[in-house]
Amino acid sequence: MAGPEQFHSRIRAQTVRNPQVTASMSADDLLAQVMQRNDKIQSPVVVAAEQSAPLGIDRLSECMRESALSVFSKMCGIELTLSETIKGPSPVRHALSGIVGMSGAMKATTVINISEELAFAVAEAFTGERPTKIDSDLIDLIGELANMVGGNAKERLSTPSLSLGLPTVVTGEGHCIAFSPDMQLSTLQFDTPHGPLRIELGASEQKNRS
Amino acid sequence: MKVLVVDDSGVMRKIIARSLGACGVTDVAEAGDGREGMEVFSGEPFDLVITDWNMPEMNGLELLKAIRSSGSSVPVIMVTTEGEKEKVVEAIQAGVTDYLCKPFEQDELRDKLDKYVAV
Repeated sequence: MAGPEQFHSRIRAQTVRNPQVTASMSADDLLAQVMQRNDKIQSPVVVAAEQSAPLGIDRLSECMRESALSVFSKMCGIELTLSETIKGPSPVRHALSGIVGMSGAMKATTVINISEELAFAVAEAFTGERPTKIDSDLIDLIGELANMVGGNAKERLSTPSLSLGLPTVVTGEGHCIAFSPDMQLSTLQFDTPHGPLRIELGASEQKNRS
Repeated sequence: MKVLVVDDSGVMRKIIARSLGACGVTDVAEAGDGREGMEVFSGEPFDLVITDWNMPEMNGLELLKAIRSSGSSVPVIMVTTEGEKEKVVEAIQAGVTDYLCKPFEQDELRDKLDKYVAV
C-alpha cells in the first residue's frame, strides 16, 4: 500500500475529480426524506397495534405479511397473495430456507421457505439471469431476501431495542428447522405465479411491557 | 466515472452494478466488507461509493467514518435495511451523502444514481 503522503494526496485528488457531482441534499432534507418513507410504511394496523397489543406473534405476523408483500413487489415485481395463516409450523417445507432472528425487546425467528422455481424466478428478477441449479449465488440471494423481509418487518414493528441477526440459509427438500420451545408459532402461506412461498414465524411474548 | 460498491451480498452488488450499467457506468469496483472496501478505496480514485450498513469485519458506518477521516468528500450512498431514525441520524452525522432503504424499486436506485453520476 502507498505511504501516508501518497494516500492523502490521492484522496485530495478524488474530492475535486468531479466537482459538478457534489452533495445536493442538506442533512435535514435527507433525514426528512427517510422519515417520510418510514411514515408511509407504518400501516394503520401497526399503528393501532402499538397502542394496545403486546409485542408478540400476532404483531410480528402482520408486519411480516406486509414486509413480504412489499419486498417481493418492489424488488422482484412478483405479487404475493396470502392464501392461509396457520397457527403453528408449516406442514410442508420447500427446497430453500432463509432464516433470520430478532433479539432484544422480543425474541423471534423468521423462516422464508421457498421452492426452487420461485427462487429461480426471484434470481432472474433481481439479476437478469435465471439460474439452472442451486448454487452459491442463489444461496446468497435467499439470505439477502431473508435480510430484507426481516429488516423491513423490524422497521414496521417500530420498536426500539430490537436487533436483527445475520441470515442463515438451509437447503435440501424436507430439511428440518426447530424453533425454540418457548415460542408461539405461525405460518403465512402465499401463492405466487411461480409457486408457493411460506413464512414461518416463532416469537416469545414480550414479558414486561411498560 | 468510477464507482465502488461495498456489500457482503454478491446479489446486491450485482443489482447495484446492473443499475449503474443502466446509467452508463461500467467501471465498477466491488468489495465484500468495509475493511476490503477501505483497501480498494485507498488504492485508486473513485467518484462515488455505495455501501451497505451491516457487513462483517467493518460495517458501512465504520467505512463511511474511515473515508471521511481520510479527508475525502467523495459522495457516499448508504443502501441498507436500517431505516430507524437513530441510525439515519448516525449516518448523516458521519457524513453520508444519500440514503436508500431496502426494499426499493430499481427506479428509485436509478434516480439516486442519476443525481451523482455525471457520465
